[in-house]
Amino acid sequence: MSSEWCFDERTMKDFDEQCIKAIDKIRQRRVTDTDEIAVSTARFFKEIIYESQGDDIEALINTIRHYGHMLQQANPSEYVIKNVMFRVLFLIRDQYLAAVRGTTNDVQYFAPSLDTLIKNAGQHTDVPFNIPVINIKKSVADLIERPNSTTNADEESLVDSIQRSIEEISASAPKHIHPSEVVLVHGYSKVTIEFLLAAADEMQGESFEVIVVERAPSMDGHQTASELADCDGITVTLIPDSAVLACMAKVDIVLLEPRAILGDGTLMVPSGGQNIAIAARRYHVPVLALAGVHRLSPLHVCRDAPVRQGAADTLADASTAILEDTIVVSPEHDMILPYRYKILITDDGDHGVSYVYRLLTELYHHVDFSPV
Amino acid sequence: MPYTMQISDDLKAKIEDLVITVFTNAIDTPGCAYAIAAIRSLSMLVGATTESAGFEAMTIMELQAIIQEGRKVLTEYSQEPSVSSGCALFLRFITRTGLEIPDFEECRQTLIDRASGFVSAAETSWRKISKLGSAFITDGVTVLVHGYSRVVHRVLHDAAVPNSTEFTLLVTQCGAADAKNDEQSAFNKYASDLSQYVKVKVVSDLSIGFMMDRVDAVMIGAEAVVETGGIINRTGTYQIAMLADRFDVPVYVAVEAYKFNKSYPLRQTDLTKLGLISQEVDGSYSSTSVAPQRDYTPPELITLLFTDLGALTPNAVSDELIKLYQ
Repeated sequence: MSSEWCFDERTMKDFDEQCIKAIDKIRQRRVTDTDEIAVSTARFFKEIIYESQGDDIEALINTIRHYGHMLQQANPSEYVIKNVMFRVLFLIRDQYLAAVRGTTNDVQYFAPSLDTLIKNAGQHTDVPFNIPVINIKKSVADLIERPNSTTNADEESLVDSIQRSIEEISASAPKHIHPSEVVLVHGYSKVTIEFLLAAADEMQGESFEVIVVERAPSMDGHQTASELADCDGITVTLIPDSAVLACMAKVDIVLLEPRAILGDGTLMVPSGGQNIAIAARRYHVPVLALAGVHRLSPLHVCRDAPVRQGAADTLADASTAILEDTIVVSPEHDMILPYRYKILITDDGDHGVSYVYRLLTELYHHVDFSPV
Repeated sequence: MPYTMQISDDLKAKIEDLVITVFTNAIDTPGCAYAIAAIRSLSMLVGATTESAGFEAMTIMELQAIIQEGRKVLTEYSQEPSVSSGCALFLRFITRTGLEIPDFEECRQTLIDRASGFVSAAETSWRKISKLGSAFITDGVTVLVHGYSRVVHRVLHDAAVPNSTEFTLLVTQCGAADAKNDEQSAFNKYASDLSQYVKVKVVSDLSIGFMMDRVDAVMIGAEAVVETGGIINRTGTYQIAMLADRFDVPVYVAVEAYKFNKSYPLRQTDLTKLGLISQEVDGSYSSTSVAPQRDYTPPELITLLFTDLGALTPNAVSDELIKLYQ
C-alpha cells in the first residue's frame, strides 16, 4: 500500500505554507481576477507535480485533490480553482493512458455508459494505475505550462489557453456585432471590452452603440464607458441599473461575462446580471455569454446555496450611521438559469447552451466530480 | 435480411414457461425492481441453453434468437417500460460480449457471471444516485414528491439520516382516497420511515398549485427515461412539472440508467402508440372516461436527472442512448 501523499513531511509543510499564503491573498481580495487565479492555481499544481517524489500516480492525484480542496476554501464561489484542479487530473489520466496504450501492458478501462452497465456492474471505473510507466510528470507539467512558452498549435498548454482566451473569444466578435446595432453590457468586463473593440476594428468607418450599465455599488461600469468612449466606432451611453428595463426595448444584443458556468449551463455573473437577463427575455433580446472554457465547471449548485457577500467597502458611501442599525446584504453574484441566454462564446468556438454537457465531457474526467 | 433462427413452438413454450416462472418469483421477493427481475430471467434462460437443460444453443445467433423470444414473452407479460429497456440492454450486452469472446462456451459463462454481477449490484446504483441527489436537499428546503419510488425514498432517507438535513417533505395523495390512513399509500411508505427525522405532510392532488410557491424542489422517480430526455411516470407528474416550471422550481429525477428507453414520444397520445399505456385509458374518441396510468413529462420541464451515470441534463440522455446503439 503506497503512501497517501507524494511528498515527504518537509515538502508537504512547504506546500502547506504556500497554499495558505495563496488562500489569504484570495480571501483578502488582494487578487480578484478569475483568470489570474486560474493561472496561479495551475502553476501551483505544476510545482506540486515537479516536486513530487516517487512514481505513485495515485498519491500524486490524492495530493493534488487535497490542495485543490484547500484552495477552494479561500472562496467557494471561485469555481475556476476546482476547474483547474479537474483539468490537471484529467491531463494526468490522459497522459497515463497514452503512455500505457500500445505497450504490452495495455490497460482495460471502461467509462460508465449504458453499454458497460451490465458488463462492468460493480466494478471500479477509475483508471487503474497499477501498471508502472515511464515518468509522465514532465509531459503533464508541460501541458500545464510550457517552459519557454513556445506556441505549439497542436497542444496549447493550459496556462497559455487561459491567457489567450480573451483574444480567441474576441475573434468571433465581428460575427455577432454589426453596424448600427445597440449592445448592452454590464459593469466592467475585460473580455467584453476587448470583444467590442475587436468588433469596432472590423467595421471600417461604421459604428455601433454600446449601453453600459454602471453596476452599483461598485460603479465599475464607469471604467468600461471611458475605455470604450476612446474608440471611434463606438458610441457609449451610461445608464444606472434601475434603467435597464426601460432601455431594453431598443437593445439588439446583451453581452455578459460569467465568472463561472455550471454543469447544467447556469451562469454565475456579478450581481445585477439576472435582472438584465430577465429584462432581455421580456423583450426577446438575445443574451450572449463570453467565457473561456476554463470557466466551465462540471459542478452544480442547488438553488439556495449560500451567497457570498460583495466586498464590504462597496457600500461604504452610504452613511455609516445607517449601516450601524441595519443588516446590509450585498450578494456578489447572481445565477442566470440556462433558458435565459442563447449562446456561449468560448475560446473553443460558439456553442448553444444545450451543448455545455458535451464540452464538459471533453474537458474533464467524470471520476473527479461524480461518485460513479 | 439476416438469417433468423426459427424457433419451434415446442421451444417457445419451454422458453415462456421458464422466463415467466423466474420473473414472477423474482418480483415476489421484496425490493426487486422489474427490470432486474427481467434480466435475471433472461440470464437464467442463457444458463438453460445447454444440452442438459433441453434447449441447446451452439452459437451466438441461436442464443440471441432464444433470448429475443424470451424478451418478447416478458414484454407481453409485463407492461412495465423498465422491463422493455432492461431486456434491450441485456440483448445489446449479449451482442457485445459475443463480439469480444469468440469461444462460445466461455462467452456463455461470461454472460451468466456478469449478469449476476449486475443483478447484485443494484444496490450500488441506488447508492450512487442517492449520493448525487441528496446533495441537492439542503437545510430548510421543502421537497415535493409524487408517487412512490424506492430510488427517491433512498435519496430522501440519505438526506435525512446520514446527512442529518432538516427539510420538509410534501407527498402528494397520488390518487389515493385517504392517503393518511391507507397503509399502501405513498405518504405512509415515506412517513413510516422518515417522519421521525423530518416533517412529512400529505398534499391533496388538487392543491399542488396552491402549494407550489412554497416548494423549493420537486423530486420524482421515473418508470422510463425516453430518448428526448423526458420521462414516463405516474400520471400527475406532467402537471406537477408544469406548475413547477411556472414557479421556477427545479424538477429533479432520480432514476437508474437501465430505464433509458429508446422511444421518442412527442405528445401524450404517443404513449399509446408506443405501447406504454393501454388503449382503453388514453381518452381515445370512443371512451367516455380518461384515466391513464402514466404520462409523459417533456425534457424542457426537467432540470436534472440523477442516474448511475452521473447527474445528467435532459439533452445528455440521448447522447448516452446513441452511444449504446452505435
